[in-house]
Amino acid sequence: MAAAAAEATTDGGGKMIILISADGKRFEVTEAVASQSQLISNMIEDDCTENGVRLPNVDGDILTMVVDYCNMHAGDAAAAGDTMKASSTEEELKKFDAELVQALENPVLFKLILAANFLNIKSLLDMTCQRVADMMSGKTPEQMRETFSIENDFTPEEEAAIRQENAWAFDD
Amino acid sequence: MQALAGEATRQAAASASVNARGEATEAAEIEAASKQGQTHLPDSISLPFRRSTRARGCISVPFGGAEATPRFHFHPHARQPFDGMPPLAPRKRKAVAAARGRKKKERVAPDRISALPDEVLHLVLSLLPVHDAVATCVLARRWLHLWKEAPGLSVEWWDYDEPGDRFISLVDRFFTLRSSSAPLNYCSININFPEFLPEKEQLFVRWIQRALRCQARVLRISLIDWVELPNMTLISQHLTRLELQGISGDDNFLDLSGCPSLVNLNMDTCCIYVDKLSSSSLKTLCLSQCQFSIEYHIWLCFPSLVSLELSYCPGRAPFLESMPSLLQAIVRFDDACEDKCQKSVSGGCDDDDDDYCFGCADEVVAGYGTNGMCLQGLSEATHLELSADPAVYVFRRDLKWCPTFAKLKTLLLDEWCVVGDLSALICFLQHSPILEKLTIQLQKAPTCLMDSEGQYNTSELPFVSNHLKIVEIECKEVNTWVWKILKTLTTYGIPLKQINIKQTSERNGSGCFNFVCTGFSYN
Repeated sequence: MAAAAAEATTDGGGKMIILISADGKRFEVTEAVASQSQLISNMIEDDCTENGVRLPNVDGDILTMVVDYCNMHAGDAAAAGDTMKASSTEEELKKFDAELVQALENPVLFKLILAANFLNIKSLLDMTCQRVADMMSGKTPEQMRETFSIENDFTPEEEAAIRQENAWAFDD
Repeated sequence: MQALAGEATRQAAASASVNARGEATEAAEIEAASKQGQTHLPDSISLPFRRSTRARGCISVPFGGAEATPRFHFHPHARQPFDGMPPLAPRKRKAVAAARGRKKKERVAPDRISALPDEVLHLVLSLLPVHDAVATCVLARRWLHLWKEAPGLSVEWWDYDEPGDRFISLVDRFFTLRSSSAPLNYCSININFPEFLPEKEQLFVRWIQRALRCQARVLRISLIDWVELPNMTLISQHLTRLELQGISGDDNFLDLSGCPSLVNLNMDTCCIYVDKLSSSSLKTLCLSQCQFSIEYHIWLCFPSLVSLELSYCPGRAPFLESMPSLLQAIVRFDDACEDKCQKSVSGGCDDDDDDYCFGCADEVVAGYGTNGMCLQGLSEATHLELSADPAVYVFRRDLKWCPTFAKLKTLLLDEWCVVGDLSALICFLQHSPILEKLTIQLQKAPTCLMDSEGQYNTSELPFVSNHLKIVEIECKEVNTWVWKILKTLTTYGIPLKQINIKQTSERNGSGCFNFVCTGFSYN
């Protein structure tokens, strides 16, 4: 059943691939869309996608975002040869990315990072990590701990010693 | 080693017991998903999460999989303070938390960031300015050494004061203390401070050299005020991408022969006073607002180039050497280009001593030789955008030796091609046998230089390719020039229905009309 669906092709002749999330949701995407994930791209190359690709560590709601992102960016590679076409959608893409990344907050942001890292989608990983970096940038260590609920597991003496050792890195 | 493994197990058990109490479940979930499990390990060891770049094998792929069995190895910095320190016992940990006035119950959000795999945190750290990245060492045990392995360095200075000694020593120490085994993927130095003292310029030389020694693949240097980098030569087997802004490059610095892997060069508002810029490996070149000499034509020699952009570079137009692999090129000249003349369409006006024309100085015009300046080098492209201020004669002069654009499919031209008459446009089209799309942008009304009907021999050749599907004319208003173009194109056999006029009207604000002509009368 799944095999039959996975073998289905679009009108354009592109092969379809089924992605199955941890909670069993199924996503049907074209090879071009799925290939943005280096992981899946390698699986396609090795002919391992007939029965659908199970992603037991990516939830359905996160996979929805990933698939949306990949659908949006699938044109990138195809349009690269035709800069006229690419430039017309470039602004839309930028807007889409900006809106996506702006809306990301803890915890979805970190789940999306893990999914991008696992699926090996470099552009999505870069974009989401940039968001985290933007959230950290310009903050003191105390503010960083506050923002991300990082528990300080140094004793006060240890922390003082580290600060002293790396005094060059801190504005006192 | 076994003792360490045992420690890891105890830690895992400890984190499981946290879950049993219903706390920090989501963080644990992420942690479990990433199979890292090293959040609370002693800093002297690390469990690199080595994901195979090619995950061979099929179907269900959990994080890591069987092949990512954690391997213990000693941290490269094991001789530093706290390295040998065991993790705090849970009771002591509680005491530390209590000492900080924070009770466990108050903690609502779990620490998801520390649960990210090392490789992801390295990426995050490399996106931070270096001073913020280094300061993360004090966040928690997990973070103590992370910055040393970060694959990127970003030095940022946005202040009205000159970068002080403290900042300089921070960058120097970064290079000294970072892990020598972790290559630096990219290094970005962005100093936004004018009027550097000459001795400070040595700083950049030092940092660039250290970055190259760290095997930097991408080097991005952004300064202002055309800082000189004296006696600096770039030598690296690893450098693939170089981005420069605000640098004055001399023959030493711009000698790219020491970078055999360089494929991408991007220079913005730099000073390029050299006779020749060349690289046999370069595939993408972008020179934007870079100052060339006003005395001579720089020679650009990039035989492997695939993509070229030359935008608004003041000075003499560059001479482009043949580029057999070229796919697309954008060449734009504004009126800061010195190869211009108000009196002649294609340069070489008969200037006299009273009214000396700098644009048409003898030696400059002679520099066009018998093959021209730019167009020969661009003849292999499939996509071309050529725009120029109407007075700039570079392209029009080149058309005297017009090559055949055998692969050209899309072409964009602007006002320069309709100066004087339309023979430049026609000549171009006659030499583009498989052109599919032509765009003509007329933002300004073309200036009428001296009348020069028939400056190119256009009558003998038949018109354009059978492949031409669409002509787009973008203009502010449909004036006599547009009619003239329409008439000429139809005379040469392009049906009106293939010509699309896009009018961008200023009067109605955002007004933009597209229409196709069905017929016209021209007087």
